[in-house]
Amino acid sequence: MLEMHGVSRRLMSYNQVLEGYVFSGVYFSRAYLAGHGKEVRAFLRGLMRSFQFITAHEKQARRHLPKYTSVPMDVAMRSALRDLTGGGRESLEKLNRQQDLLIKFGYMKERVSLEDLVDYTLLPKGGALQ
Amino acid sequence: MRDQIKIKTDSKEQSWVMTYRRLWLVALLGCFLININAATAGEAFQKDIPVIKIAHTRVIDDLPFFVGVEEGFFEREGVKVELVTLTGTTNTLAAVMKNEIQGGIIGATQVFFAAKENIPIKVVAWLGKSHKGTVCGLHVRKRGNVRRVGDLRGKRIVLSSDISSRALISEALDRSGIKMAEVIVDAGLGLDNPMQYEAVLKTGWVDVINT
Repeated sequence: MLEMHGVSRRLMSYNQVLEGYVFSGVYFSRAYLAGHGKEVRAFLRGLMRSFQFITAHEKQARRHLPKYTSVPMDVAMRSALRDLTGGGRESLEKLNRQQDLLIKFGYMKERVSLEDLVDYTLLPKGGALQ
Repeated sequence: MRDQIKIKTDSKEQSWVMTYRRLWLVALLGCFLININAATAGEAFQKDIPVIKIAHTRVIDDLPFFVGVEEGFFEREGVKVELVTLTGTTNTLAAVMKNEIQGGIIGATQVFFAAKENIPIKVVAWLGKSHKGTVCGLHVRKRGNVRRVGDLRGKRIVLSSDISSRALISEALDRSGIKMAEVIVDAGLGLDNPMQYEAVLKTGWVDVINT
């Protein structure tokens, strides 16, 4: 986004360092999930529809950015979006690569297991919608 | 005689007009009642639909939530999503734990620490990943003398406090045979928007911006 202002140039992107870098996820408390599986399933179906819409109608989707962020429309229409083709699922192997990077540079001591914390059971199967 | 016929005809016409008007009134009343019922049903639907409050930070990466709300995808699936602006992982986690909001967005690195600390949350979906067109990374002055990562030894870099980006940059430097200790790191600038980044680069005081 910065280079759009004409002052800078990208030297290196995060993707060049670690391809398919996973930035963030959406979470709920375990207590809420225990009592509201139906609601979270509905939420995730809506989220997957958003993923599909952004992928299929990117220009139309970008028009919603200025309302919710501080970016003007011209920047909203050109800024890079994330790759949403994974349908909300990313492999634990990929996430573990990110852990390894943190360990390599002393930000973490050892890998932690993500199997109990990452839960795809409420996502529509294969990211697909009925 | 002609007048009598005329009167009879007029009376017949009046009768038809009255019947016609009555039919119209009945039809209008019917439509009115149907509208009332439809509105009541709509309100009931709105009242019955569960609400999920999700924290977001007003960044481009949260686009799937904005699209879901604006295009009606969540409501079509049976849930109303309210987006709440809230910054900071700790603040969001606290609000989720108190059920003031139901969900939040968390960085992958924070997920690792949450797992380590056994924080009672679950990540139910990831919000995409980087790709060839991703622009997040290191940015330099357009006409500066830094052409590749290998030129960064001894240069001044503005870094955010986020450890995931620090790890990525450490790796990029490492691949070019440079250690983090060989660059001058400025971590306290607290730049919030592209205009500030731009201004700092323009001054020539820093050589590289991480964003």
